[in-house]
Amino acid sequence: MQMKSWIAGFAAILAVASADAAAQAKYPVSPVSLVTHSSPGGGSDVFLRELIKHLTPVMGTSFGVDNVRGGSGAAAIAKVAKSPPNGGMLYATTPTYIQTSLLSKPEIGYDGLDPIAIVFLDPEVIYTRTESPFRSVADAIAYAKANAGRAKWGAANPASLERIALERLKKAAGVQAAVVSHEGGGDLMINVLNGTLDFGIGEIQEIRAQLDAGKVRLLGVVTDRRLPDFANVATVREQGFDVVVTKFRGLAGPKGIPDDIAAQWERAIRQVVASDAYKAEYSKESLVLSVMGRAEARAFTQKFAEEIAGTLRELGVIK
Amino acid sequence: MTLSRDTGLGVLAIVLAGAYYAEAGNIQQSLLADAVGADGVPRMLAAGMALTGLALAGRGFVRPAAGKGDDLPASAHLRAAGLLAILVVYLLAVPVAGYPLSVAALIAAVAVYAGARANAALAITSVAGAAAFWFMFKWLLGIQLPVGMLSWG
Amino acid sequence: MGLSTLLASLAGVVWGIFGGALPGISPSIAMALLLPFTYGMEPVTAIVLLASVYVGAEYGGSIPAILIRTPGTNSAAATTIDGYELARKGRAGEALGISLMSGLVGGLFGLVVLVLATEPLAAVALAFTPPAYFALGILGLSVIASLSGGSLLKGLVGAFLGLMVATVGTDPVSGVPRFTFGSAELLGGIRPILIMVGLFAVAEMLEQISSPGWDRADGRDTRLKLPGLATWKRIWKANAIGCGIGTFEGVTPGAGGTIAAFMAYNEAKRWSKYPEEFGKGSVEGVAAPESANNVVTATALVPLLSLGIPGSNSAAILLGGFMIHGLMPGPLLFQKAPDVVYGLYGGLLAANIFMVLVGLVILTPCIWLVNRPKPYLIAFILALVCTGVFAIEQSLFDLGLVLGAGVVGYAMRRFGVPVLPMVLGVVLGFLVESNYRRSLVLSGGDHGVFLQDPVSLGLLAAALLLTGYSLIREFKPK
Repeated sequence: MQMKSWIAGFAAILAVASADAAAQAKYPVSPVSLVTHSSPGGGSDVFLRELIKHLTPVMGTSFGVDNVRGGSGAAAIAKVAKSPPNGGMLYATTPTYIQTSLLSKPEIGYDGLDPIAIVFLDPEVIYTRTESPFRSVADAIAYAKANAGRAKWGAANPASLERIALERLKKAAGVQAAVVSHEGGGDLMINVLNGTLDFGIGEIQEIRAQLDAGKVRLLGVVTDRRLPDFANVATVREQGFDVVVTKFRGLAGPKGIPDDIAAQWERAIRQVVASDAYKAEYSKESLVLSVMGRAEARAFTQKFAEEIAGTLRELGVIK
Repeated sequence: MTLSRDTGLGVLAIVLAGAYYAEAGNIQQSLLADAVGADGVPRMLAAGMALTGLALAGRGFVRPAAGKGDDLPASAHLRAAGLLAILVVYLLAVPVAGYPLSVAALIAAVAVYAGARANAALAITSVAGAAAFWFMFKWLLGIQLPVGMLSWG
Repeated sequence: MGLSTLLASLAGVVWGIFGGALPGISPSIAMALLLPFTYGMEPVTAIVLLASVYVGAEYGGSIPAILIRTPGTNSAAATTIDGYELARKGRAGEALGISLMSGLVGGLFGLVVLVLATEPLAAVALAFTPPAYFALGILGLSVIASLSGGSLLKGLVGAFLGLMVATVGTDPVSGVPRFTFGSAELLGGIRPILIMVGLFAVAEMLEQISSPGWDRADGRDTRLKLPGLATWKRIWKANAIGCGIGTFEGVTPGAGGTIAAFMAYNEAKRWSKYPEEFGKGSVEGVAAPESANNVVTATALVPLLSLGIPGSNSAAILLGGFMIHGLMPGPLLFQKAPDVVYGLYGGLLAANIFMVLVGLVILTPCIWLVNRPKPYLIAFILALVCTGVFAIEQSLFDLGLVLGAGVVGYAMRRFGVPVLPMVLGVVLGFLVESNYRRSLVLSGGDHGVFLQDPVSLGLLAAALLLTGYSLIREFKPK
C-alpha cells in the first residue's frame, strides 16, 4: 500500500511543527519515502512518524511513510532493495527483518539491504500481575525449581526474540518451564492478568496501560543496564541469569548509497535525538537511545544476525 | 459414469489427505515445539479427512444413487474453464499492461463471453468502468495500482 | 458533542460503508487508510471518526453479500446464505432493508451494553484462558452439524479442507513455516476473506456462466424496502438471538464478529418457526447474523477501553488512534479522559443513526446497479473482485489464491459439498489449533485441562448438546 497522496498532507502538517529549523546541507532527494512492514498505527509506523516530525526541519526535505505489508516484511525489504541508491527510500529496521529473512529465506533477505543507522533499543521487561506472589525474576525461578513442571511463562509471538530469551533464561537458570507463545501482546496480557501464567515478557509500550494502573508489576528488565524510569527494577543479569535482549530500531537502504548521504543521516539523527521535544516523546515510551552511524550499524546488524541465526539453529527452528 | 459421485469424492478426499499428510512430514522439527508439534494437528486433520473419504467412498459403493448431484454436460464445464482462462490472462497481464488497460479489457472480455454484444456501448461501458474503479481505488482510497510498462501517469 | 464530532461520525460511516462494501477492504484496512488523517484532529474527533468507520464497514460488508454473494467483510459471510437467496428471488430490497434495520438494532443494543456493562464484561474477557478459547472454537465448529445441508460426511470434507487451509503459515507455537512451499507470501497464513471471495463470488460467476439458463426471478425489487410490522414480528426473535450472542462473542478478544454471525444464524434457525426456509431465503437468516455482527462493533471495544487490549485488527487500529493522541486505553482511561470516552459513546450513537440514513440514500441505487443485464453484471463483479483483492497487499499472489478458491468452490458444488463448513474451518482453524496446543503446553500434556476449566467445560458441553440436537433433527428419518 503506497500512499503518495498523504505525503503532501504530511509535509503541510510538519511545516507547522518545525520550530527549531537549523537546516544543514540540503538533502539531495525530496520527498524521501520511509518504508515499513508494519501497518499504520503499528510499532515501526509510529516510530517513523514521530521521527520524521523532527527530522523534516533538520534535513530540509519532506518525508512520507509507506506501509508495505505482506510476507512478514519480505515485500518491504524487496521494494527498498530494488530502489535506486540515492537516499530516496529507506526501510525501518527491527529484528523482524532479520528473523523473516532467516526463517523464510525470501529472494531478497536482510543482507540485501545496507544499514544506515540504528537509533533506539526497545527495552524488554518481565512482568506479572499485581496479585502474584513473585517480586523478582529470581522468585519466579525459585518457584520453577521447587515445583517441577508447574512453571508457566508467556511470550507474545512464536519464534520471537522474546520467546528465545525465555528459552535462554530456562537454560541459564537450569529450570523446566512451559513457555507459551501467543498471538501478540494483548493475548499474552490476558493470560498474565488472569493468572494463567507466572509471568510474561514484553516491551514497556505494550504493558504501559496496565503498569500505570497498577495491575502489573515488573520483575526484571532484560537489558544490560537498568532503565532510568524504573531504576529500582534489577536487570535479569543482576538477578543472576545472563540473558539480555537487544531489540533495535534503525534505518537501512539499498546497497550503494554514497557515504556522504549516510553521514548526513547520522548527523541529523544525532541532532534530533538531542532536542527536548523529541526526547520528551521517546522517553515516554522508555526507548533507550543508542545512535549508531553507518559503520557501527553495519557491524551491529552483522553481529546480531549471526547471533540470532546461531540461536535459531541451536533451537532447531532453522537448518 | 461408473463411479458414483460419493465414491469419486471419497477417493479425492483420501488422495488429498495423503498428499497433505506427506507434506506435513516435511515440516521442520524445532526445539521450540510442544509435545503436539507443528505437524501434530495437520496429521490429525489428514486422518480425519481420510476417514471421512473412506466413509463416503464406502457409502457410494453401497448406495450409488444416494449421492446424485446435478449433472452438467461437459460443455458447461468448458464454459466455466473459459471464464477462468480470461481471469488468468488478466492476472498475467496486469504487471505488463498495467491496471487500467487490463481491467477495461477484462470487463469487455467477460461481458462478451457472457453473451453481451461487442458494440460501441460495450466499449464505452468498459472504459467508463475501468475509470470508475481507478477513481475509487486510486483517488478515494489512495491505493497505488500498477500502470505497467505503458506508463502514462 | 460538537459539530465537528458529528461530521466526523458521518464521514466515518460513509467511508466505512464504502470500504466495507468493497471485497478485500476489511474494516481494519478502511480504518488504517484514514488513520494518518486523524493525527491533526482533536482526540475525540479522531476516535469517533475511526470508530464510525468500524461501524460503517461492518454494516457495509452485508451489501455485496446480499446483492452479489460476495461478503465484503469476514463477518458478512453468514449473511450471504439467505441474503443472496432472497436477492435471487427478487427480494433484494427487502433483504437489504432487514439487514440495515437489524444492523441498527444490533448497533444500538451493543452501545447500551457498552455503556452500562463494561466492567462486568471485562471480567468475562479475562475469564477466557486458552482452554476456554479452544472450547469456544469447538462450539463455533459445532455449527457445521446443521450447516452441512443434509450430508454430514460431505460437510466434514468441507470442514477438514477449511481447517487444512488454516494450518498454512507460521506455526503458532514453534514459529516454523508450515505448508508454505518456501513462499514468503504464505508465511502470514491465508486470509479468510480471500477464501470466502473465491468460494462465494468467483464460484458463483463460474456457475452462472456454465449454465446459461440461470437467472433470477422475474418480478424483482427495484428499491429498498424497510421491514413492516409483519416482518418485524418474524425477525424480532432472530434479532434478539443475534444481540445476545454478539455481546459475548464481541468481548472475547480474538473471537469477533464472524463466529458471532454464524452462531446467531444457527441459533435463529433452531428457534425459528420456519426453520425449513433457512438456506432458501429466510428473512430471519438475514436478521440474526446482521444484528450479531453489529453488536460486536460496540462490545469489541470493551476489552480495548477497559483493559487496553485490542481484540481484533480493527481494535488495534483504534488503539493506534488513541496512542497517537497520547491517550492510553486501559483501566485508567475512564478517569484520565472521560470526555473522550463519553464522546466516543455519543459518536457511536450518531454513527448508528447515520448508518441508516446513508443506507436509505445509497441502497436503492445499489439495487439498480445489480439489475443491469447479466453479462455486464458478471463482468463488473469480477472486475470488482480482481481490483479489491489485489489492491490491499499489491499481491497478484492473493488474486491467484482467490481464483484457486473459486475453482475449488465450483468443484465443491459439482460434488454437492457445502461451502459453509469450509468457511468455518478456515475462520476457526487457527483459533482452535493454537489454543488446543497452548492449553496442552500449560497442562504439561494433560487433556483433562479442557474439563477442569469451568468456562471450557461449559462451552464444550454446550457444543456437545447443540451438535447432538442438530444431528438428531437433520438426520432423523422423515
